[in-house]
Amino acid sequence: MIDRLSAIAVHTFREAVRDRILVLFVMFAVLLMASSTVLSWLTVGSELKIVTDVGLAALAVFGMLIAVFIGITLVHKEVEKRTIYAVLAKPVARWQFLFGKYIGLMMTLGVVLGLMSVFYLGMVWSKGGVAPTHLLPAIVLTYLELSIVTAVALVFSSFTTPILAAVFTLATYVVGHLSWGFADFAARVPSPLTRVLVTVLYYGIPDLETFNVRSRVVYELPLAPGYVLDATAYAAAYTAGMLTLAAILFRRRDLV
Amino acid sequence: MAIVRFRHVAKSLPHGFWLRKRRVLHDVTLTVERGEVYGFLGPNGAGKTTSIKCLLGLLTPDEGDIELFGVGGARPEARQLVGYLPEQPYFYPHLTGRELVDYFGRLFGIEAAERRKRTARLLETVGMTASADNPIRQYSKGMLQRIGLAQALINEPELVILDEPMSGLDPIGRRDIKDIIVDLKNHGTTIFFSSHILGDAEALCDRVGLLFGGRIVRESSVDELLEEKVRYWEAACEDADQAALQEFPLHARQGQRSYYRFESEEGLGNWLDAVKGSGGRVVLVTPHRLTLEEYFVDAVRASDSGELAEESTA
Repeated sequence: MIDRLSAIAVHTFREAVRDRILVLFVMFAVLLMASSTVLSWLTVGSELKIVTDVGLAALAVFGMLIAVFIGITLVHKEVEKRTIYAVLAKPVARWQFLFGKYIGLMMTLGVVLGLMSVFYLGMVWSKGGVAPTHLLPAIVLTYLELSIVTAVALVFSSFTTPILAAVFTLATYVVGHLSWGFADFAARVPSPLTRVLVTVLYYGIPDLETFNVRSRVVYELPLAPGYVLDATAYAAAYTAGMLTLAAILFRRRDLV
Repeated sequence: MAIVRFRHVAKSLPHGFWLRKRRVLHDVTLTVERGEVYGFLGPNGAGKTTSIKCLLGLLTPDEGDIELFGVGGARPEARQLVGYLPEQPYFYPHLTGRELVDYFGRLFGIEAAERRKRTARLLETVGMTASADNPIRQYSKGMLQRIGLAQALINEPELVILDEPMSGLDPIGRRDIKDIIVDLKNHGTTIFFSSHILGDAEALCDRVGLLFGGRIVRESSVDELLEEKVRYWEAACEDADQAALQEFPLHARQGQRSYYRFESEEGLGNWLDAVKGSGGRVVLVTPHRLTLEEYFVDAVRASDSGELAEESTA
């Protein structure tokens, strides 16, 4: 079983790497980070802060774009190009196919994020003069956020078209960053029915703002002890839930 | 022992803009026995590919049940001993032929060293060794078919399912694939292949199932199907006295040679005596049996008129 999962994962990784779009994304992100130097000339005194801030944001946004745009096509491309038939005619269960694809994409994202981070941290280091280790938790948390976004993309792509899946996933991303507002709202709303509804929404939509510690680390404010660990547990649980949902949706789907 | 068994399988698929369900398979019942070559024949749109997808668990039948090696085809373990060549195969364009075969070998859980050995041997068998390390996006249709056959055999399957294996191939490609099928059969592999080209089936199959409009209209051995009756006898003679043969129906004349056709053996016998009696020479006697092609057209026509009759009574 592990053998099959790893075969599909490695294959997905290889496909993404041989796809030139990925290189384009990475180049673009690197370019944006480099251009933050130009931006920083416009500000007086806080040059390092601008570079640090813009770079981290670029990392998160480009990681998200790759996760969404590869994530939504993972299943659809295989069905549309009819490559899936030969694979699922092998002794491969559908959930193995899905999970293998997911792991492969997370491997790809790991490498892409790693490459971007090396460039970014090098740039900050050369400007600031000290090793920017305080930024590492923000990068780790970005990766965890991507693991959730990718799982959400996989759920949508397992039953709908790429365009709809992209819209739904991007919407989840945006709402996910605002979901703390639901908790606030639920506490204030008078109608009990609305309260239940809003609470369900609050727990159903991933709380992605948890993974955004960018402003804290840029100002070198301390994170609560165990924060990254808690966030990891949350990401793992949410991802597991999403993958299970994707597997259920995909299990009986007719591959016409 | 039956390796494949369909029992009254029905399946509807969404169709058109509103995705309305349309019944593609009405009632498919068939069995494929161990070691035989089974031709699954029917015109385009008869439901051959849909049936195969149901067999492999890619589609779930609405009604009826399907067994593959005694268990449901939707169970992954049922597919451990199955090789499958999809119709108009299309494989990952970013891989090379060798990588593709190796990847599919991994999905069967075959060890790396064994995979390398088998991949090299299969690439040789299908005549793809020279292009094995080129990316698949550069392959022609015939090359895709060949690499598709190689990947279908990586697990040394007991059952090989080939969906239109000869379609779009040039004569050399067709002959090569036929040779491979014969070779597999000689090694005891069960083969289930679909085709709308009847000549291929006639030469290769032990048994055939004729699928038309989502129904099996006939299932029998090829011999049984074709030997049912001699359609007519064709006979020709030279230098015979035409006056003595006047009572026989002359079909054509070519130079010195006269051609006759007889519906019955008796008529042929009388003609033979008459030719001998008139001092002529018999140069040709050929029984014309029903070809699968003709049988097929007949079956389709019968089924068509049957459907029309059903509709008019309804």
